[in-house]
Amino acid sequence: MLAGGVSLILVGMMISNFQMMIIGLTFIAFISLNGWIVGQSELEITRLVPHSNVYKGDLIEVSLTITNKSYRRTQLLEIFDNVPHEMKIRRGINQIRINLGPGQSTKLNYMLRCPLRGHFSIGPISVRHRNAFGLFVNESKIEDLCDITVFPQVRDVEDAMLRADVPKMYTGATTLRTPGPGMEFYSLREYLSTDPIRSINWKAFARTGEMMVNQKTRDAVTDVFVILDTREVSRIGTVLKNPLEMGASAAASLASHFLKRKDSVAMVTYGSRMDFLPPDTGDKQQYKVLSRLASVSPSGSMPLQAVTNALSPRISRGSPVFIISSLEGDGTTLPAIRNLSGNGHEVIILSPSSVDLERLVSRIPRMAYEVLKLERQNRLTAVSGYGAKVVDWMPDVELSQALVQSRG
Amino acid sequence: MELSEKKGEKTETLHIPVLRKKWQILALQITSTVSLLLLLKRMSDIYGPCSDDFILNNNANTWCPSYEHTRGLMWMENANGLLIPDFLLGVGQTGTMSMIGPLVLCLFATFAIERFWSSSQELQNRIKQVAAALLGAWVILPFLFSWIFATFSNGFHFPWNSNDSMNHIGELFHPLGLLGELVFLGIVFAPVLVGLIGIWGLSKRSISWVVGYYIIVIAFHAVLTFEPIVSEVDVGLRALPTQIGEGSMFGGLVSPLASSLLGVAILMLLFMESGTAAISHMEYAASLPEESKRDPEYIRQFNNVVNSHLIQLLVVVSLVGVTTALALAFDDLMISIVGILEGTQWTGQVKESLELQMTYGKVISAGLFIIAVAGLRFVVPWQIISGYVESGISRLRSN
Repeated sequence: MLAGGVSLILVGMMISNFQMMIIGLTFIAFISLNGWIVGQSELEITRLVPHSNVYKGDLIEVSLTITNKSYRRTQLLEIFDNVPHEMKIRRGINQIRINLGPGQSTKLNYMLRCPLRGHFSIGPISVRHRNAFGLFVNESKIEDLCDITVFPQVRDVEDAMLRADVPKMYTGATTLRTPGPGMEFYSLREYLSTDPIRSINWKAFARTGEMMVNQKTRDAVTDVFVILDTREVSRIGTVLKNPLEMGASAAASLASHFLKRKDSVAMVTYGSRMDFLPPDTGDKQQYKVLSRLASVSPSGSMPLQAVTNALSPRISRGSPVFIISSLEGDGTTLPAIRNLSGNGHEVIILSPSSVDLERLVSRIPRMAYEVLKLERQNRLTAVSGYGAKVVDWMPDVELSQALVQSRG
Repeated sequence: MELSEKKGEKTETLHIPVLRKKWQILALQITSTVSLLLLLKRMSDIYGPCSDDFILNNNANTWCPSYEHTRGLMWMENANGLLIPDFLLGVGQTGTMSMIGPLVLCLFATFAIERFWSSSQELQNRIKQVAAALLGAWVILPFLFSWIFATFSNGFHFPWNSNDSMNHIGELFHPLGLLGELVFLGIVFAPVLVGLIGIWGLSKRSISWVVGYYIIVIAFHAVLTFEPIVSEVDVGLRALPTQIGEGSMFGGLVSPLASSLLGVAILMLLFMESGTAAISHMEYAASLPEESKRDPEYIRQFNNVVNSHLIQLLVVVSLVGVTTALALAFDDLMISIVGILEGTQWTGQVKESLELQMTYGKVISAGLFIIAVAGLRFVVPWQIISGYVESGISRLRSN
């Protein structure tokens, strides 16, 4: 409009035509007067997100309260809450056009779905002042970030674990005939100054006249090791369905299952480097496991044997080991599993079928598919020959169903 | 009472059919339509007449390329006759009355085109096929019938012949007459038709096209009436006066010519801004998901935005008119100020300077005035003042 106005004035001056000059002047006057209307972004915006930790596939309700605290109208503002592109808006919309008077406020509600695990941030909030006639646009940002952690999905594998051909030796807390923290009575002994008052056996005190305390039998727990393959090769497939996504969900489900049974769970991820989460029990450990799994991404090509060699001094004797890997592109798989089995560990391999996952994104000729499938079968058979229980996990099969199909 | 209130709240949504009946949107569309019609009227008043010399030197049946349709149609009528009835073309009428018939045609065409666009693709294809078949039949059938009937009386002959009764080729070109009539009508009424389609058929492009068309008409008129061009080729257009004249309207602020020209510019702005505003607001509403269209907060804010847009449109366009008028009269003010400083030779020269009152001086002084007005926004805290007033009013209301 400015260019048009100036051009009309200049052409009008050239040919002494008042009409063109007046139209040009009017356009320029229009722009000048529009400059008087300035939007303001001095707003108080608060974002309410009820849960900052959610599971993959969950919905998050986001609520923005926008208040104009100043003594001016905001004029036409477009409020846009920046949402990570990995999240999808399920209800409502993350933007609104407002024109708030002094002291007025409004609310913007929308619902997000989190189809991908990971650590994300909602925000910042973009505030765009658009002149009523669309002549001027002025954008500012309010750096209000809200961190969201999306954990992998946790499936219920209780029934599957009972029916599956996987070892049943880890039955949660088992008692050892040694004194220590636990639930069952072990013996009586004399009171020491360090003993808590509540452990005093008052009946024995009344009977003997001496302060006695109850000793409990120590509860021991089984250490379960879960090893998750996060190598570059685990990227094969779609964004939502690939060995890493399936594996992260399986690792979370298994860890959750065992932690619920009061077992101790250790988590190992390997890709470009190895990350080891030492065995522990309880809700805190579950949070650590889920947080670790939320942040894994496919990278690197670390061999499995390097992981098992590094782990061998830390794995408790007889502990079961779950390996979640497609077993692709790693020549050290067989010796690694042989070593683990040889050291007396129960090894269970959950192997997402990368051949079938690849078929989801690219067309593989039938003959090539058959050959690849045969190679994979041979690999799995060879692994099971070393005493490992192997689960060939197809993309369209649920984890609980896949666990039932284990073979050894 | 509460029930009816709740019912009222429920029916207010941001769906397009509901918005089309909303008074704010209708106000914008009606403002735009009225501006368009007034613009047509004013354009034809200013650019419609042919020059006095042309009228004196030619008879009433000759045509000059002015922004007026009846002269061209009358010229066609005298040549070959008209296919469309005179009352629909405005032939034989003068002034505003000559526009009534074509405007009715425009309204009908707008309605028909809107219905056509909103119909299914299948129906559109069928309508196109039927229209093409009718046009084809209109071109071919009269030619065939006249040729066949002529063969009974004159025997077999080719359809082209020096003998008029045996020459039928002319029948093929008969429909071209309609095209000619539409061209003459279109020169004046195409912007009205396209503008109405833009406003009511929600097309920003059409609205921009209309403004562009009018600017081109003005530019063509300016070039064709430019003195060096007229001395070479005089097409008979009436030139606008080179002097804008003394201010005699609105307390001596503007001259009748300036007021008339300013009116065209203001109407152009009003048409463009109100037309595109209605579309923009509806575009925004259409982009919202279903839940937000029913969300009371979104509806409240939409009302806020549209209401303030209406107020701003009214205030800004009025101020633009006043500012431009003041800007055009600013040279007089400058000369008056210089006139106060009497005594020197320079002030006397400036006071009697013609250049200051002619195009260059007028535009430069107007430009200076507008720059000063633009700069005043940093000085006048009008938004804070209006904010205090607004919050005071709302406090009084709540009390």
